[in-house]
Amino acid sequence: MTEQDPIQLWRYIRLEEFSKPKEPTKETVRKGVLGFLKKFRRTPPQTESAISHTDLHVFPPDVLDKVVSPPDWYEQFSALNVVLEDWLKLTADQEEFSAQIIVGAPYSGTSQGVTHWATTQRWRIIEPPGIEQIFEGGKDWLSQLDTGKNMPLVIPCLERFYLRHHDGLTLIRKLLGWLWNNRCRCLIGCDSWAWAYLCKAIHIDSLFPNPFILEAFDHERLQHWFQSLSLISGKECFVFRQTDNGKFVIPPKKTLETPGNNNIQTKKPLNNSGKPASVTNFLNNVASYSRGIPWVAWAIWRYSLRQTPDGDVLKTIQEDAKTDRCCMLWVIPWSQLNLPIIPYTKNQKQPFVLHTLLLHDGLPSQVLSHVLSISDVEIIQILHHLKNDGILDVEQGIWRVTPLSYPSVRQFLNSEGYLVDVI
Amino acid sequence: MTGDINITQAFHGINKTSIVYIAIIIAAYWLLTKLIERLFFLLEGRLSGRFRLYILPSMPLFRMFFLIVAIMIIIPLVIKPTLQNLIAVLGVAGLALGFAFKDYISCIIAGITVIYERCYRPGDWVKIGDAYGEIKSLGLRTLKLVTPDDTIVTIPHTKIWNTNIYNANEGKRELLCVADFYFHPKHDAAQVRQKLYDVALASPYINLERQIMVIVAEKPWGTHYRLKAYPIESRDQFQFISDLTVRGKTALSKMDVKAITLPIAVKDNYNQ
Repeated sequence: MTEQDPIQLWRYIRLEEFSKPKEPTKETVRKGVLGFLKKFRRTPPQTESAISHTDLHVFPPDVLDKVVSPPDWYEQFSALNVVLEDWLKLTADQEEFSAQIIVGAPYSGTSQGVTHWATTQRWRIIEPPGIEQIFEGGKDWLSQLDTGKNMPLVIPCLERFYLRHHDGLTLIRKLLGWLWNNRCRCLIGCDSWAWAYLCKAIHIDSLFPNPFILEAFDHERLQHWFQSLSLISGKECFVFRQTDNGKFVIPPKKTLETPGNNNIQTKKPLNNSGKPASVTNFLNNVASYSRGIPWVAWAIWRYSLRQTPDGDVLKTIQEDAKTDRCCMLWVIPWSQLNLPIIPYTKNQKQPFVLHTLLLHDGLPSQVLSHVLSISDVEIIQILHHLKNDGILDVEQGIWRVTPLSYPSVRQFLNSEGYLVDVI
Repeated sequence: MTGDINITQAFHGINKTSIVYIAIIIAAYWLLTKLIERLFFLLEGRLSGRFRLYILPSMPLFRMFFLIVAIMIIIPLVIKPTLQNLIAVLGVAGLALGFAFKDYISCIIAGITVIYERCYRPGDWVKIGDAYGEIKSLGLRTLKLVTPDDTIVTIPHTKIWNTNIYNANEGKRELLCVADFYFHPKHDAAQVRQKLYDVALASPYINLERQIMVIVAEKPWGTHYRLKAYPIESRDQFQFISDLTVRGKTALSKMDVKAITLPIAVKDNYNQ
């Protein structure tokens, strides 16, 4: 198997071309039946250990960071550079000269990528206003834009420029009007949920060309990516097998060299006994469930990994893969993976909280209370209840939906009729 | 052949066994309809709005189906099932029952018409006469409607012959809601109109797939604003209107726009 050029792994496409990976039919049927039965359960089913599997342990976070290292944003930035290089070559008489939009899925690091690009290009970065400035309509804040208005500028996170509140849309309307009237060159990064809301609320899509978005990660891309994340010093040190049937989740790259057959493309991955190895469709399920969002898939992948008590993962890492030995890591089968799901509740305000947090890519609890006109006490109760269920997490005072629970939350909101993003 | 029909010869001899069979069939029909009602109410509470409005309207169809099956099983037990017999018996029965139960039969025929024409169905919000509420169930003779005050109103189907039926959602989830505001005429109407539009956009209940409208009308006593929008779920209409009203009052009080009140007698005259 040849090495993939990292830029091809990460590719930006037009928003209208985006399509999420398809779900395996068997999983669709299983989910449909379980979903229907869930309607009649008052309490969530008792969670079993995914492994009767008492022999398997969860990885400590520091070891997990070495087995499945945090993503390197550099590759994504490279792909962004490719698509923006073509845009930079446009001349002032061409339609898309003025503005370009990059829409990013939740957890995608779009604002970091756009900021990094702006830094390399030495374009002016427009930082988001404060919450109070948004509520006041941004009169004073907007006046700063007039300074150096002919310079190209970058708005890394448009989702921070509005609030879903009757006083929260004035500033962003004025900002867009200013951009349109001044015809200055600008690159705008925006979260996909905020983009969906702004399209409906202020018809932002009629002002700008069709945005770019990262192409969905199907199971093949995920396989390559997870494999690359687990390499140590460029060597394959881990073998991933499913706990129920022993099949490979990621086929190992090692192949059997047969005499006279040096054609790499015809060699198939082999198991320990030298026979062709079979591969599970675990990554197909991950790709479909995560909707092709790599960072959601990454979180699920980390969540599904287990080791045996005598697993020598640390030893493997410490020896820096000097030997050819591979360490066996186990993967919980998809049907036994207990990912966080929305608990049944009659509290109508819970979906409001979830939806609002997604529309704004996270909010502090005080702002959430003000936006929803719900008391602080009630908001805190809902937030902590959802945190205990693994649906939300809080970091530096900002409440967000966790990557593991994101697919479940999105599906719930979609089925209840709430506005959702296109991803 | 004399052409005379002895009507009694059309019937089987009714004996104890027949009576027991008929009683069992009637009991089974009653039990099945009750079970279906319980099952549908259970599903209605569990399913999201989208599926609820697919499931609920099929309840009267199931009830009708069970009734037809029960009648088709009972008739051969009572009448010798030849065409001549059926015509004779049903003709005589129809004449007798028609006079005695004409209103009841009119209700049943109206009920069948309702199912066929789909004037309304379970899950619809309707206004019939002075009763407004959500239709909970459709019987053969009557419908049961639950008002916003949680009062159950039983209305005969015959109302469709001579009364207007106002159906707010007609089997769909969406239902237009209107929040009214009344202001003193001295204010910037364009700003108020924009602000009320943003009030709707800010509501967590709002269905953004449907249009939001703010209708302004100048009256002799002031300016009347009607904020029209759709909630995601029709059952939330009152919470939605309340949310719009509260947010609207909060937003406009900051703009120093004064609400207006009228003496009751003057308002009643203008409402007529």
